[in-house]
Amino acid sequence: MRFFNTFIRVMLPKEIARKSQVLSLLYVLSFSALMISTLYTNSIPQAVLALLGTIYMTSYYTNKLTSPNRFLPLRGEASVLVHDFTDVRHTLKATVTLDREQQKLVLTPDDQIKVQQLFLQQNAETNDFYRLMLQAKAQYEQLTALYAANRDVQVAEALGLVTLLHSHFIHGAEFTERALALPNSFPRKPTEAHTYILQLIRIALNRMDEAITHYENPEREEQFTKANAKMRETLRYVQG
Amino acid sequence: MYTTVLLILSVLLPIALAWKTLHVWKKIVLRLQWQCQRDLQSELLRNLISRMQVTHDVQQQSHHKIMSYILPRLPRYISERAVTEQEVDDFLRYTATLQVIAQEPLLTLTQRFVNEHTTVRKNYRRPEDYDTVKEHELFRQYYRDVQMLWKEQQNALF
Repeated sequence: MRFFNTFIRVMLPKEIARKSQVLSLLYVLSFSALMISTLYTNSIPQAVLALLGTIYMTSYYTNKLTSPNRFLPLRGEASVLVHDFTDVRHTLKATVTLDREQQKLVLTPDDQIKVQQLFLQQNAETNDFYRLMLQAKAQYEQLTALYAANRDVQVAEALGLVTLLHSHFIHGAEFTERALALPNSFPRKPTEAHTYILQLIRIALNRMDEAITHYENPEREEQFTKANAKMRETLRYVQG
Repeated sequence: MYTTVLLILSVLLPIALAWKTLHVWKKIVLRLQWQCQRDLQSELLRNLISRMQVTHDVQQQSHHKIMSYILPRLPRYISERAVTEQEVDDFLRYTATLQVIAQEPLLTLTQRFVNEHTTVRKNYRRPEDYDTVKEHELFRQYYRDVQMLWKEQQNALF
């Protein structure tokens, strides 16, 4: 179930190419200078030296530019875009450096924290699934405390149902996100079925919230029975 | 004439080499960018999911996850009339309560059902191979086991 709707794109700046372009220019100039000077000499040792110099220069230049663990140090201000399915919501500037041992581009730790906070804030505002699961998590904790306080069978059932709901949906969403990395995976965007399922979950969780907050009332048994029945109905409907 | 040709060659050859190498370099940087993006995205999603989790204990998480195998199959079993809606409702009630009051026995039962069901599923190659009889039998067996466990627990409680 495609319940995640916030994604990140990293775009490197154009200035990163500057150093390698300068190196290429130097290479071209020195190579042609060497070849032209060899053309106008008559001494064989100079020609041999020129040949060796060419080979060395070319291998140095090629290695420097084609194996990432020997690159020139890369450092630049990448723009990190936080977007959902249709458009970009936020843009952030983050410093990116090249890590030679791991052969990866990494963000600096402060920028990583900034990006993480932005991502979490964006999800807290727009991702309904995230909010519902946090609500279920809060209910799980409340119900565990309630069950520890008084060993009520209905509270046990409510706790079990909330756990089932919570773990099932999180497991499904995690699975879908990983599966979408494979080719030909669907659905790529949330469909109306997802909105409908979220609505069902929301109704069930709200009922459960009411039952928990009114735990001190005398008619709590009825409320819990109704809330449990609603949860079971939602779980029965789940298609995975 | 040779001189002119060699002169032109000595300018064109380095330019061609540099062009190709810069092209390769650009491709490598694009790949690095894509890897960085992918790592960042997966790190962020993992962080988000761990915030949603109720517990970070891996064993507890796997105990909770196991019902994800069974829950999506329930609508199909209902429509194939292996179980009625009321029975599924009761099944969910039993499972939910047992998960809190008798987790280990329920886990054993469920693990057994999942293993048997996976063995049956492994022989499926085409959609027509779906063996209704065996699947229903397995699920009804599991349902009876769960009901038995629930009755034991009821007697132990009262």
